[in-house]
Amino acid sequence: MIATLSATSFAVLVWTVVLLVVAVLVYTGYVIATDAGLV
Amino acid sequence: MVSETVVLSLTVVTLAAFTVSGLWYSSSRIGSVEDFISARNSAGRGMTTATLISSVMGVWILLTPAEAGAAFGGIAAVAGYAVGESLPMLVYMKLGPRIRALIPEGHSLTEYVLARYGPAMYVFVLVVSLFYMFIFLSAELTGITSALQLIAGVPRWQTATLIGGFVLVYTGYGGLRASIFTDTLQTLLILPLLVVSAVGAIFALGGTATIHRQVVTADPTLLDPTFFTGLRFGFWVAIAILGAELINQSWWQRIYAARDQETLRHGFRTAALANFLLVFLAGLFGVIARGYVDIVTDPASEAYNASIAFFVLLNEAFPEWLVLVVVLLALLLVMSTADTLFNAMASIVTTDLPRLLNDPSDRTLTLSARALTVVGALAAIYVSVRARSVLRLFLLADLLGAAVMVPVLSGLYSEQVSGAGVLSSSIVGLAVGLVYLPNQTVRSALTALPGVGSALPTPDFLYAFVGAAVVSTALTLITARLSDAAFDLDRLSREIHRLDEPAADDGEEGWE
Repeated sequence: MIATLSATSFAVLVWTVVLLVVAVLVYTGYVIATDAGLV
Repeated sequence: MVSETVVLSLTVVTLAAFTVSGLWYSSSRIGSVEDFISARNSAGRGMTTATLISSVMGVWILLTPAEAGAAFGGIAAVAGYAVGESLPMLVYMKLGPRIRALIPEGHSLTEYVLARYGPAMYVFVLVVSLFYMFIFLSAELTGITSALQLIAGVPRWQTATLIGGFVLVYTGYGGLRASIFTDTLQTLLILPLLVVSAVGAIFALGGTATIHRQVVTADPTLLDPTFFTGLRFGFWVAIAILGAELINQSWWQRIYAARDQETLRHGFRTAALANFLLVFLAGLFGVIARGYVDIVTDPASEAYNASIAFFVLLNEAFPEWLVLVVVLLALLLVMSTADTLFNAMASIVTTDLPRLLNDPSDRTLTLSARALTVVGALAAIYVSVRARSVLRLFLLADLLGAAVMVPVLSGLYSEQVSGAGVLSSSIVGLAVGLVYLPNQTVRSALTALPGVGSALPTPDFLYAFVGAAVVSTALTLITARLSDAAFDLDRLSREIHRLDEPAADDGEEGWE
């Protein structure tokens, strides 16, 4: 049986992953800035 | 197709900017060969995290995860691939602090293997590790040359020479310090560029609802997270990646470059999450490509193009500005991995030079490391210009890693495992893997052996990788159980020293 994601689930999945990548970027940038004494 | 001149200009400007950055940062920081290949305790949390993310995130993330999504099982395969890429980081979260505690002045995987298991296993692991890193590097350069040829018609030799040449300049001069610094800048650009590429692509393709409809129309199993074929692929590819990364010298270097144990754990933890997300996001484009362009997924077909599914989609459905964003992203990805591998290959040999040369000076070792960087880079550039695909060799290198990972690393925890035991376990595990490996060259060689050809089982990647890992692990446990060896693990710290200090009385206690 095929359990294809619905259009809504697919949208939630895609945008969640994108937002998490943004979160990792912001966090990594913050840690680098802290290391460099900028924050 | 975008203009060749524009793409070449973007390539040169990007490469030149990072070369200048790398040279500037390392100009006052290379005091000895230790700085060049180890950069011991120098990287804080931010740099450690950034270099762990960008060192593994090569241009391959735009190729193989998308291929997995397009041809090997849709979203289920992509999820497995993403788990596989984050798994080694989680393992290193535990292994890294252990390595630093046991061998505080270490540099490389192979010097540990020599001290722990003796020369036979050392030669085996040296060959396996160098082979894997060289194939990884060649695959990166082959990937970017193929991509720029497809997108803008840039001749392969021009791309390979430019990227290899520029990266060689700053890595050859600044070593690991330059690599880690440029990795940090590259991470800060790679993450937003990937987000911009993904968001731009989603809108360019009509939004998630349209994408969903197109993909489901092409093949509904592509968006089935429980699709068995995809899960099966994800399982064996996770073992393959884990084995390969556990023999990758790049990680051993960064374990020592981190400022302290907590910095190391933090870096690997964040990199595990980042790797999962980046591979998953990149792999989704392979799934999406099936809904928009003609992707041939039969590997036996001459027209097979799933291996470049993302770039086929890019070429046909993305606006030009987005293509240029992806070109920049691909350049940063390949640079961050190439500089890491250039230095890793040089370092793994350099750490062994004091044993081969008669008490070499620090200057001799630094010059040797630079010369080895040049040799590795030139060889990889040559291969990338000549080769059409190194994927088959990549899978063979992964298999070698799967067969040796547990035998090699068990010696960090157990006093009972012996050199003979781990070598025989690795070789038998490898033999089992080769018997099942779907590789034409390996298959032909095995078939030519008397009495073997007719007994060969049906080739299958799952059995190859699981077989190699499980058999080598089981044999390591059995031989350790039967062995009366008792290796004093404190010997590792007594025998492995910094390269800029006089050698102590090394390796006189014998291997067990």
